[in-house]
Amino acid sequence: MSKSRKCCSGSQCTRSEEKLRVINIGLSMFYDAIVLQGAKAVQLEWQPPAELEKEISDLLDDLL
Amino acid sequence: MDLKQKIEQANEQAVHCVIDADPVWVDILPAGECVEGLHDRMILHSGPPVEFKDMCALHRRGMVSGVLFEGWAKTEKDAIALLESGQIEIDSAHNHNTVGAGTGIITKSVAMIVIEDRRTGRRAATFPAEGPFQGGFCGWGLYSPEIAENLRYMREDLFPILRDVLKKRGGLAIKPILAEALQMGDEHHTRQTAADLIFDKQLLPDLFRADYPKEQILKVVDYVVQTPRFFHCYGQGSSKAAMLSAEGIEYSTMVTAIGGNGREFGIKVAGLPGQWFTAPAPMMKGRYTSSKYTEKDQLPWIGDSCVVECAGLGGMAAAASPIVCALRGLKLRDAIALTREMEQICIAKNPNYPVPNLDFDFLPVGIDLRKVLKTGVAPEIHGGMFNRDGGLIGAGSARVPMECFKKALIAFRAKYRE
Repeated sequence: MSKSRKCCSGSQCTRSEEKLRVINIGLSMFYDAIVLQGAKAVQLEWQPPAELEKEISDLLDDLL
Repeated sequence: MDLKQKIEQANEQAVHCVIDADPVWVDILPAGECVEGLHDRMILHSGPPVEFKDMCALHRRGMVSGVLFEGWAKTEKDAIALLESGQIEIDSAHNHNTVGAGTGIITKSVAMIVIEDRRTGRRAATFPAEGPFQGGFCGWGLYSPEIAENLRYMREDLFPILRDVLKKRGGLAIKPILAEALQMGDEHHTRQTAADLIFDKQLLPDLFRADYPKEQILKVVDYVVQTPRFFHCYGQGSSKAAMLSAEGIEYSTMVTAIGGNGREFGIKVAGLPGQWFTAPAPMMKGRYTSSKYTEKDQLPWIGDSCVVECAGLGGMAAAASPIVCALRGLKLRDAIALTREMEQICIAKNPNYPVPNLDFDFLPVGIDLRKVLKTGVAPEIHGGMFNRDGGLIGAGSARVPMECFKKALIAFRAKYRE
């Protein structure tokens, strides 16, 4: 079930009646934008794992 | 027990030096009587050790100020000649039982706040803020006849009364103040607003009851109440006392010191006592006190006050003090996220420090150099921005350079070769 409505650009778009629930990963400004439009969102703090030089990585394997 | 297990056990012991510490303000003494290894004709400074010829302008000026204040030379020119001759011993404050806030200039005659960890008996000494001169001699490395007179006034007129009051009440416990202020918006590096008030509430009734002329009492009250961030040296002293207990625990990868000298930045590690692991000092991001300042005016990190981060305060406690994070334009959720991020690199949580913004979850404590490297998450450190020419021009934060941890890891593996 879906209905047509105006989106922020003024054009017609289709969106599910089901409430939007968002998990935002990365820049929190996207989270802000979603919340400002009335949708529920959570901000996930995540970053790619560190890339270590082989020497450091090998040493760490012995210690952690 | 394999190496990994030995490290885990050592880190558990080290982090409990912080969690179980019982810091108490017990005395005020001249640095020459309470800073271990501070000899006559010796000057301490902040950050990793650096020779006079290689120092940044602020440290060089601080050294000259130290020589003039102690009367080892009469003119600036003579002071420089004396320092260049090598007749003045120079060392890093962190290599002793003290820390150097800002430039961290400490000589034998300045009066120091003495904090004792009642659990271990270890004592640390820190330099108190200089009343109307704020950073003044120790923090900003300045010298003038007025600053010298104020140091004398602190030592001979103000502190004997405070010392007397302190002795009569049997010391002043610092941990309850740290804990309560964390619930009132302080993180104990950049902000001590709540701690200052709680501290005053503890001290002032005894001060008013002291058997001294009213005028003298009121001078002490003015000094304590009107000095901004008066409690800062107590947070640093408590943290350093705990780190002294952890220093030298074999196999521990816990960080026990973080500090900069305006050029280099360094860390120390519990299981590698006496060694510094350095990288170029980082620049701070934050807010300047005036729009006339830019990054060009800012000196790379100088000061040892990050000892509070080693003890799970300051940047580790960002969630406790969103107002400090707002200096960088961050919001409450960013402050919470910062502390959650720091959890990834810490050994434990400190049950003494529940924080409202974390739904009363505990703050992380004990930076583990292994976890820093594994996650790529560098410790968040708060602090004051220094002008290259002296003086405080803002506040903000930075991250400890990853290079320090890499060097420490290599040294750790070289020492513990099992």
